[in-house]
Amino acid sequence: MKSHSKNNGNNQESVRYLQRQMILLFIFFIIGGATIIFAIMTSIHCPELDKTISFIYIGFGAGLLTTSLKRIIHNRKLLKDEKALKDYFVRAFDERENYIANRAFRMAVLIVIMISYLAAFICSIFIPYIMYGLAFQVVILLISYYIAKNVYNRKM
Amino acid sequence: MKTKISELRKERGLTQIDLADQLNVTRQTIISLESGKYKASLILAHKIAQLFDLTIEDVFIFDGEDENL
Repeated sequence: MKSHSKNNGNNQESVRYLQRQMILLFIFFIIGGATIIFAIMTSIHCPELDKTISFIYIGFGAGLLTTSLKRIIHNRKLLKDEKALKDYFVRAFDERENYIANRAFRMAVLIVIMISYLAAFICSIFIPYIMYGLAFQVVILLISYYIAKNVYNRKM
Repeated sequence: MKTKISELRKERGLTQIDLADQLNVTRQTIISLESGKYKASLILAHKIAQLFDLTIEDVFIFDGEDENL
């Protein structure tokens, strides 16, 4: 039987995990920066476009940029401190914490679906296109669920 | 699910923090396991049983009601 927890390995494994995570964070950092640049360039070169969209893009980009940068700095600190690294991995891969996070996520998704349905149901009276959006979302959800279920079914 | 973790831990003179450290879990997980609020995975149950040098059945008391959850 193979353990899926990362915390039972040695520190080398934890370091490798953090290094892989930092590569991903660096990619997010670049995407965030690129989004901000794209939004600024668009607002300069296409002044006729709605400014609100540019601000939303800048917001998303800034969010990605700062979050990834914060995580990169945090990970670099962890790599220098063995005790903090162990504590971090115990907390991050504690099975109870993961179980709670999964249940909370499922609950949050369910609430989002319910609220989206309710909002779309009411708004569709005035703007019918919202119902198409909701229908599209439901189709994507069902397709993703079906694919994911089949993939896991083959794996387990 | 009831467990004998608390008794076994005290018998061996271990604190919840000691046990958590040895199992690579948080202290809160040990508290929840001891109070029966959280059911350990097979891997964690195996690790706990191994640590106490017992079988899983010796540490965890299977309750028929658990089957429905």
